[in-house]
Amino acid sequence: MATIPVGATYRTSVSRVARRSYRLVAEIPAIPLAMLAILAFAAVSAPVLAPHSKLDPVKPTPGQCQAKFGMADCPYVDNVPPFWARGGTMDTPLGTDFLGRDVLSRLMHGARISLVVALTGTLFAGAIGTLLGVLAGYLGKWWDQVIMRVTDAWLTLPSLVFAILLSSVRGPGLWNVVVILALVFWSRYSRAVRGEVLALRERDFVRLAEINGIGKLRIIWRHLIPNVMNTVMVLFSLQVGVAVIIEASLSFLGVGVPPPEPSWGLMMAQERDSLMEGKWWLAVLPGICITMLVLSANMLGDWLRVRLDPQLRNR
Amino acid sequence: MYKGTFAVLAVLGLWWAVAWGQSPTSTPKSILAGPLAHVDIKDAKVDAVRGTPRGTLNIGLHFGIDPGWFDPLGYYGPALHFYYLIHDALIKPMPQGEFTYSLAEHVEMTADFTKAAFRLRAGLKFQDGHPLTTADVKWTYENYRGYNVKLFQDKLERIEIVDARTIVFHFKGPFVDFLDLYSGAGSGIGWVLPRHYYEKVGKDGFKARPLGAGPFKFVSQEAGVQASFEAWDEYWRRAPGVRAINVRGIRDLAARMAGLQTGELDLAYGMTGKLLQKVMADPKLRWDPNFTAPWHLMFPGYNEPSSPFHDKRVRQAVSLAINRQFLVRQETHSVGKPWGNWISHENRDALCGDGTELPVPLHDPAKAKQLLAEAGYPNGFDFDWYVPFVPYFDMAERVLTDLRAVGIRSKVQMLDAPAYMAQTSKGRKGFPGNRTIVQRIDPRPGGAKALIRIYAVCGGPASYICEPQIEALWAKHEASIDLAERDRLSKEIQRLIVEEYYLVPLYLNPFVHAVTPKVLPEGDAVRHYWDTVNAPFPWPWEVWEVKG
Repeated sequence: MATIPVGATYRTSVSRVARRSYRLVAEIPAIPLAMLAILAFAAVSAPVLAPHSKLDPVKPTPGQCQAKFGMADCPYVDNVPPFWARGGTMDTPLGTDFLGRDVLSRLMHGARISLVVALTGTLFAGAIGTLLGVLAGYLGKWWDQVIMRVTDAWLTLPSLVFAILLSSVRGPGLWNVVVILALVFWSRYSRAVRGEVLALRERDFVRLAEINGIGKLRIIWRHLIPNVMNTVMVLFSLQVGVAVIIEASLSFLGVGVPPPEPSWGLMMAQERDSLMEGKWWLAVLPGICITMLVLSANMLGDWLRVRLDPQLRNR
Repeated sequence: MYKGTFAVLAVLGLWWAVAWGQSPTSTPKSILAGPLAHVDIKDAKVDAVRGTPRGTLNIGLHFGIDPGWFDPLGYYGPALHFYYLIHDALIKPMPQGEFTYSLAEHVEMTADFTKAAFRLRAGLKFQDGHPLTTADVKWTYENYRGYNVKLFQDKLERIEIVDARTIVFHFKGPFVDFLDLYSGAGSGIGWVLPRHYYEKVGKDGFKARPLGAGPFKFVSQEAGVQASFEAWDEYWRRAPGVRAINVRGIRDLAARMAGLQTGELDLAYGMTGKLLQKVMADPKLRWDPNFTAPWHLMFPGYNEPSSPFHDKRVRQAVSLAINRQFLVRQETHSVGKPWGNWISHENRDALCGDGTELPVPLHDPAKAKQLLAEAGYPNGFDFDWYVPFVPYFDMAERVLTDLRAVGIRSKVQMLDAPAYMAQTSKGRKGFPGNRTIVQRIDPRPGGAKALIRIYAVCGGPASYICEPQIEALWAKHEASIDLAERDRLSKEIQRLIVEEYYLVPLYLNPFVHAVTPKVLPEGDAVRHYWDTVNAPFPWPWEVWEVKG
């Protein structure tokens, strides 16, 4: 009969496996990627796969109308519970809201809105902030002074309050939220990128390019921007989560995406009253979706930060 | 029940009972010479024994508070809630009647409606102890800048101060509606302000720290959120029943409900919608349906040819698309009533919208689609915004769902109360473009003509309607001093507005208020707080009592 090896050997073997497993998990952020994939898939496939319309009520059966209102016909049946609760049905697996609209379909379309708004808004913010940061860092002098003072002033503004202010000026609307996100978050990029460019412009390849008479715009485009993209990507992935929260907050407060579009923040706001009636799922489900998206975006951003930083990566 | 009785009394009293050359009012000493109109103004109920205020009444308002609402000179919106707290008027609606003596103890109007005279009570003063005289009444009139200001200015010839208690308004011609409009509920002009204080602190200072002659003194405010008031023991009519009143702007229905349940609120407004059933079922809460006025839809800029609502068939389609019966069931648990007029049934000379005088609009989506197709919109159309009254956003979505079913699509613009009130009070300028529907309600007293003047005639302060046919009828109405003819013309205008779908009525709103057991008296007798005709809020506040 084989004997169990001594403890030291066993511990070594276990710790190696654990280390390898840890590296594997650390290198491939499976959980956030899976969550993002699910949400992205829901968003992309919503027009095809969503069981019902995002705006129109689910047509009720005569039996439902009779049970709810005592009528043979009715325009919709509101607050149908989810499938696991009594009275729930698989036709509307997550139930219906106060207007008889399918909650699952609205969540899927809500993912579209959240992702489109957050990604586009962050993308615009990144583009503006990167450009300004590169200009400030590379051109220096008054470019640096002006851009960085504005950036500093911008950074002092609390993002949500600033977003509410801008929203009250521009009015509610999906694309207005995108513009607001871009206006709120560009300063984060310009500050980080400018610092990076200050170091890059002293590097040999930039000096040599200048000695060879290459124009400043070309140096920015060919040499600086590609070298700051790592930082930008990390910031981007981290800012997406914040943008989702801001969008949801604006919609929750009634200054974001206007009803009847199914934004998750708005869905939570509209169903606050339902919490008091015990219909917790109506407000909690959009909350879970927001949490999933923000958490996965942040975890992915964190992983990118480690992967793209040689010092952290080799530690 | 009481409201209806008072409305009938007011009908009989003020206008129908006006008689040429009748004997003057009951006060022995007349102010004006010549034949007088008989005005039926109820006597104030003055308590012989002054009680002691006790306890605090915490009120949950269903929208944010605008400090501008403390200043009657700039009257608009739901400001009366605060006027009844801080200020007092010469005459105003009270449980005793739509016209009840308040600061004035005697009123006269000449039979030709060219002069009106008021005699103030003796010994009146403001909350700072400064005497309230006819000079303050004159100053308030001359400095008023709110609703109907142009009308008041245009009609006035001069103001004569006879003495510190007697004042006479001389008009350039007959001003038949003067008492209706000057009464406390018709505008801000009748709420007397302290000239000495207003001039000292200025407009903004007054908004920040108002002072009046009403039953409660202003204590503090957190702009938009909360305002606190304390009883003024020397109020002429009686000492207020409660020591302090706190009003908090809470837009969220669930938060108001939680406030009632935890005891943080004693009275909350607008308990309709999703939680009405919970209010009804809660044995600790008492509620009053307080039918105020009908919800209705307005179309700013409809008379511009580029507007889709320019075509009557489109406006009719909007009306036909709405399932009022189901809307009422979902929003009010069938407490509300589908209604065919946009003016409250409690208003004098209003046509009743329950089918007796004006039909309840039908729900016929098929015909709505057909009308849209005939109007050139076979696939429907998108319009810019649906702007609901605050905070009835769920209701807005219900209406939009009905409209979308026939192909009329839009999104909801969620404004807070001060912004909504400010925009709607600007009239046509408040909503640029001509592809907007505004959802409105206005439980304004003063007869149907008061609402027509504001909402349905060219240049009305909040009017989107400018129709030659209505203008002609209104001009006749304004020129006439034949009360029967005026009544007929007013009704004709109402009928026209509804039949042409310039305004689309929805349902008679039960503006449900709920109170906790802390509010006295116990049981259903608490409903006496809602006795004032056409009152959206349960004033007067000095009669409220709570457990100490």
